Amino acid sequence: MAKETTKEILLSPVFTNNPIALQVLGICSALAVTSKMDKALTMALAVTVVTGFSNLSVSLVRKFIPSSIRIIVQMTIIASLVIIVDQFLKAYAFNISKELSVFVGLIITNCIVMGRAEAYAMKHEPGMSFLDGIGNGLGYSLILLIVAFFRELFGFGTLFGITILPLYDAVKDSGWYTTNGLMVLPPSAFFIIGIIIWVLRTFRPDQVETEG
Amino acid sequence: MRRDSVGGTFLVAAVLCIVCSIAVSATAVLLKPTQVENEKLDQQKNILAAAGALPKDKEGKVEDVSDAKITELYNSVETIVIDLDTGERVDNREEDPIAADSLDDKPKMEKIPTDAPAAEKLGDIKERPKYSQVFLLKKEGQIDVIVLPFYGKGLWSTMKGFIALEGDAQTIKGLTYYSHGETPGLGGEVDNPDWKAQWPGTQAVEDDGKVVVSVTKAGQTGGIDTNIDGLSGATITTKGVDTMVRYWLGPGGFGPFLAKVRKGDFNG
Repeated sequence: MAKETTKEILLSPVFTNNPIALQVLGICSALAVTSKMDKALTMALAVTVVTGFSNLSVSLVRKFIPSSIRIIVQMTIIASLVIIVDQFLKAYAFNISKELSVFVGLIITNCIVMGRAEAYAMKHEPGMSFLDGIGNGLGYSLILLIVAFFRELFGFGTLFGITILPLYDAVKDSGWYTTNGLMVLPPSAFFIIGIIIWVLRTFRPDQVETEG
Repeated sequence: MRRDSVGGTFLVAAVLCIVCSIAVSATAVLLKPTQVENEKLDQQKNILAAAGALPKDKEGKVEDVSDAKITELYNSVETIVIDLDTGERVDNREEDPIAADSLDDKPKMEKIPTDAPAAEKLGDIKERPKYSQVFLLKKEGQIDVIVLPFYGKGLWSTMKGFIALEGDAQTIKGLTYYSHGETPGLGGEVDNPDWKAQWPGTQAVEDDGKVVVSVTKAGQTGGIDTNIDGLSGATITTKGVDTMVRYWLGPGGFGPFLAKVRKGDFNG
């Protein structure tokens, strides 16, 4: 592999090598926490922090990790970071952490975090690994926010809780928008992610997998 | 020692465990006070919500309120401790007063008699605390709203919340759950403001202390004012809500206390 520049490492996972859109990793939480923008943003921040620091710590100790227990070592580091993030959310963003409930804990099982630790941080310098983690976190965040944007806008007529499309109210004869119930439910995230991948691959045909 | 030797593996594993556990426990201990503060604030917000004391916008929806506003509103709430058996206030009595804070850690529990009539049982739950906190909102010395903590089993979880009665100790003012693990979209709809809106104004208890409110199957209130529509698709949660509301307002729960309130013992 050619030597990558800092910028490439940080930005390539966001656009050209997106963990959700190209590698289709971390889908589960993308379905669950994208019904509102504020939830998605908190989740995105949490995942970015965890991927960044897990890559950094795994890379720092990579020369000492015996290969027989390397997955367990990575899991322990990731799990500790996730618990720390969860504690911080409970202390400083109580209401959102209540809504996110188990999904913060489930970052531990998010394939992106583990995937980057195993595929990148085990072989690269700490600085670069940290950037790679942040980059992948940002790639995840971008998709999460796009999905949440459409789901909240069409599902509730709001963005970050602020009314954008006034809801139709027959009694008061005000507003005009009727919410799309599907958008509130998790399956809608599948459709939106599908469309994002479709659009992305139309503009970047090199991402299309060969058939057969 | 080589990295992949048995000794090396154990050493790395041990060091890693120690480092990680120190990091995790340090964060937990350092952030504990802030988290406790948050939980207290959340509880106060729920008490105010049950009492219908949170500010509402033009459409009657509860507005988002700042932490400072909650603390300010909560200042007018008086917390007392009562003995559930007798309904007497115990936090200001001469002998052996029970402080409200002392109930947070390990409240003294009492067995619910197994031979009690069904109405005086809390489903499968066999114990209830001897003392309970009660929150009073007063207006000119008279009780305006009584907020009672209550809990009971739903389908999956123990549901905990507050039920508020008006100063007459008969009419429901509001109800809210602050902790439950019911199915989102079905039993979890106990959090839905539209469902909770049925409660205010419903007569719950008659003059003689008989509990009349009941939660029925969805759409089968039969035109009776004291019936509350249950949640469709959540039969067991609905039954749980019915059982816990009727238990806590009845003779096994806050009944003796409410009878004293009706006699005017707690005014002034």
